[in-house]
Amino acid sequence: MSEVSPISSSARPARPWRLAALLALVSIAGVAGPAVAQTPDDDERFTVIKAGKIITISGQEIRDGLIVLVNGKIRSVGRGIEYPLNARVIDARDRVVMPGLVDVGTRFGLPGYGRNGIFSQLTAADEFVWHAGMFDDLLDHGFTTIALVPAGGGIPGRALVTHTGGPAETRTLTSPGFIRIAAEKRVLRDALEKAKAEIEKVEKAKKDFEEKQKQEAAKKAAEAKAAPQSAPASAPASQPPASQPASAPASQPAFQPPPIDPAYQPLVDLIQKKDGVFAIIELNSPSDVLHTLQVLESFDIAHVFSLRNMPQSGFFEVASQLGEKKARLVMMPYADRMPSSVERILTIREMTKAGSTVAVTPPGDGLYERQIYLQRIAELVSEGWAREDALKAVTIEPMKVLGLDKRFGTIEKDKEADLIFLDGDPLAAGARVREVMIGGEIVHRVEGLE
Amino acid sequence: MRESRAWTMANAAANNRVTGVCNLRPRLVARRRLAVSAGIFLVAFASVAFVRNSSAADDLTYQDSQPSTQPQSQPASQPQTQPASRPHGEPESQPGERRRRRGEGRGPGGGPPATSSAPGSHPASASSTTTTSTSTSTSTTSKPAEEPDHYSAVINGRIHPVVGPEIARGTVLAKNGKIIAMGADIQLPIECDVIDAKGMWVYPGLVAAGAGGLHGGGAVEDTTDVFSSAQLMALAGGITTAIAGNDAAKLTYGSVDDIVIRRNLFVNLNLDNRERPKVRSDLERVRNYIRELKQFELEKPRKKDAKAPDKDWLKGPYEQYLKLLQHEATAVTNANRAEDLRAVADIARQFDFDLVIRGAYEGWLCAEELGRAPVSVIVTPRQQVNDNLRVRDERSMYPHGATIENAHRLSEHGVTVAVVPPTTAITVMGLAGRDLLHLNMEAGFAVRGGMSNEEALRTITIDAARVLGVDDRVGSLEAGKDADMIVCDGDILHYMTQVHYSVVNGRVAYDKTRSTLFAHIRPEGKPELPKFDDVWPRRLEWRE
Repeated sequence: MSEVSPISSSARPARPWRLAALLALVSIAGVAGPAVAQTPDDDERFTVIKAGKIITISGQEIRDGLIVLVNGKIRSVGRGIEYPLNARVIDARDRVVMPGLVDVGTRFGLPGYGRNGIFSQLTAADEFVWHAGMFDDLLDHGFTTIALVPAGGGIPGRALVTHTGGPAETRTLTSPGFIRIAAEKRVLRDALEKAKAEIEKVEKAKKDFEEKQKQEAAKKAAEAKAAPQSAPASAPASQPPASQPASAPASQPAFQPPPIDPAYQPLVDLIQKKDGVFAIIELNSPSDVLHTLQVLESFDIAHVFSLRNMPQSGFFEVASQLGEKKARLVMMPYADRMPSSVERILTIREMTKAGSTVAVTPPGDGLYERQIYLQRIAELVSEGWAREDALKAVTIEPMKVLGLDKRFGTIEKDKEADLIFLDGDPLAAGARVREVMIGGEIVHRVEGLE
Repeated sequence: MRESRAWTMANAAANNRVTGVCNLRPRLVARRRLAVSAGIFLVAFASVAFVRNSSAADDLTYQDSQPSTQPQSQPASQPQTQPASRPHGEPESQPGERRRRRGEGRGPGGGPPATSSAPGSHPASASSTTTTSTSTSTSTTSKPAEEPDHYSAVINGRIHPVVGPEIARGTVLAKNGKIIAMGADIQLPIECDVIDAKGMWVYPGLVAAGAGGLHGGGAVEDTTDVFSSAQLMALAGGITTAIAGNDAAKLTYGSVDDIVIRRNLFVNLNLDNRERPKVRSDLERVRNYIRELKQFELEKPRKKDAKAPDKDWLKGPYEQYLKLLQHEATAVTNANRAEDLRAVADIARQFDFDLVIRGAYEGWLCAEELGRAPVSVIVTPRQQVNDNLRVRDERSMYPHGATIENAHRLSEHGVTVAVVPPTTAITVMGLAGRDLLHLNMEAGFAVRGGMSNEEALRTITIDAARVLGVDDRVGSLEAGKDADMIVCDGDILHYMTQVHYSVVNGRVAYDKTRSTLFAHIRPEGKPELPKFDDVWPRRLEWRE
């Protein structure tokens, strides 16, 4: 341990030069920080993390590197980078720094009851009330972003994607988020067909309306034709008769679409490919995969499959079918087994080989699986999953699923600084998260560790 | 004591099964994807045949490719006899026509060769003539996204079509899940999934006329778990079609396409002795209605005041009865005692509707009556009456006489017999060898009861399909039927026979070499045929 604890002083921004110099003095301890050069603007708050190892995900791992943050965003990553003297320095030379972990779909901290049926207008945000420390257990184990989902079967509603900490105003990331679908084949097909029928209903109403408008316009035109003959001189010069038909449609009532069943509105958006609307479809068995693929043949919707690949669920059987579709998958960190044999199969790797992209998320809603999440990943890596793939699958891939990969998921320029500081390699036994940074600020420190 | 003995017997049976199969003669199993070496093909095509007209050229190419697709291990005498012994395949012209179509791409009508096949229209110097012509013609067809035809074939097998004579060494060729040709010298298309059944026996997939747990409930095509172990085990037992609720459905392990064959197979009739008078009078009423309707239709042109019979009451069960009497539906009922069987057969005969009887323990006592009625039965040769009831009184409402000869006697009298095992589900409960995995063995027991091998085979294939009303699609190997077949290492009625491949809709649904299900049972070691000491009244003719 260095004398200066990581995070030293500062929950406050470094402003005056004097303080900067003092900070620099305090935190030197022989670190090669080629300082100064730039004159910082007042609205640019620099933070520098001196890390023992940086797992950037986007590129090589960097030993004894620097991460320069400006206002919570990453400006540069590397070794021997320049930064202003007044920058706040976080000494994490005995830490491994990597992007925060992501949980794609959990009920952590939410009540344990749900509803069955089509309720896609509801969101997890409706039942979510923030209270201080509710996600401390998750922060203890490195989760900086979670997607809270509504509970139940069918199409129970839409998710809330949120930070697990940090300032309230930037905490919520997406709401309403993706549509959670946990429906069996028939329910899903019926729901999508109903949504399609709603669209057709609106289109038909619009068509009828336009036809009616046309008829009325024709009627008016006929009347207008008749009018000048009867009173040709009475029209004032200021109102040329030619402008009347042009202004007439504007005065007419605008088209009022018939109301769409609110429970189906998000599905309608889904079918109409509205920007940012997508579904995560939960599948419990390989048979479900085939059934759902059959339904999706007739409905082109943006979707991600969330596979409940518990051991011995046999999802590797459908790897090729999913790979053909270049499916985007969310999976649990489990290996599978050939039925009636001891042969182990790394389902996640099989899926990737076949052409799918896989993000990993801890299963269930409980704390335990989140506590041992990195251990499970390490186990899979020891069974032959490539380390880089594994690290991507817990950071950037889930962010891609959530549509937040432009903002989070790696340590590179212009990404926001959601970082975790571990006291060892994340996939090594016994490594623990020590500090968690969200938005460039240390928001959580794990207590009670040596 | 009794339990433990049963356990020991079951174990002994299991051991016997394992060791016995281990001793079977090893058989060559090779699955090949026949992509005929393109170089030879094209050279032959370009240099020899291209000057001729294109259909002749195609034929020639096929003849060239033939030696490489089929092993040349046949003795010289065979080719001469085989063409004559091809009764089942479609006329010879059909494969040729197909070939021409493949060579020139699929025209919209799929009819005779397109005009583009004229020699002048080919690029004269093209080295890859076939590919060029195919690609151009597909690009000009109306549906370019159309999937290519899928061909699959089982070759070199000893084929038992069930209807029609055995083919000693032949090929079954299927296109898009339907059998298109069958016989001794079928020529395969270029792209074809091939199962080499050399030394193996090929049968139509078995049909389970009673089954549970193989498919999902409700809408079968939506709820079936197509990776369930029950389906896999049933396929390993040779079953490719089973009744699922009131539907007939296929065991499409690993695929959700084309599961259901036919919906609403039966109208369930309760014909026990309390209900019988009511049913009889209801049927009478419906029959009268039909007569009046006929009468009305005859009179309508002549009489002005002719009135159509009232039909408002034709609802619920009456609607079903109407369908029955008009032969639009089949009835099913449970009956076991001879007295009941006689009565229900009488009703079916009197009102002339198709009836399937489940159970029929005492059918052997009234086989004649059943044979005269429009009745088919689903029986279990190994059926035993329940000893626990301790009823020996013949007035008892329980059946008290079952015999292994039941299926044989019924079939002798012209009743269509489907055989099901005592337990119509895949289960590990109860005694070994009594569940659906041993459907074939149950038919073997029918042989023990006096049936011939051929007849017993029918009870689990074509006759079972007939009972379910799906014999137009499954149950035998014929051109035009579904490509549902099993390839096994011996007579399917023998208890040591293992199924090596189950093909459903032209797709391999079970492959013993790939599945871990019976990985512990390997056909290794020296062939040592088992000795049989039970010879009464007859036994399977086990090949030497």
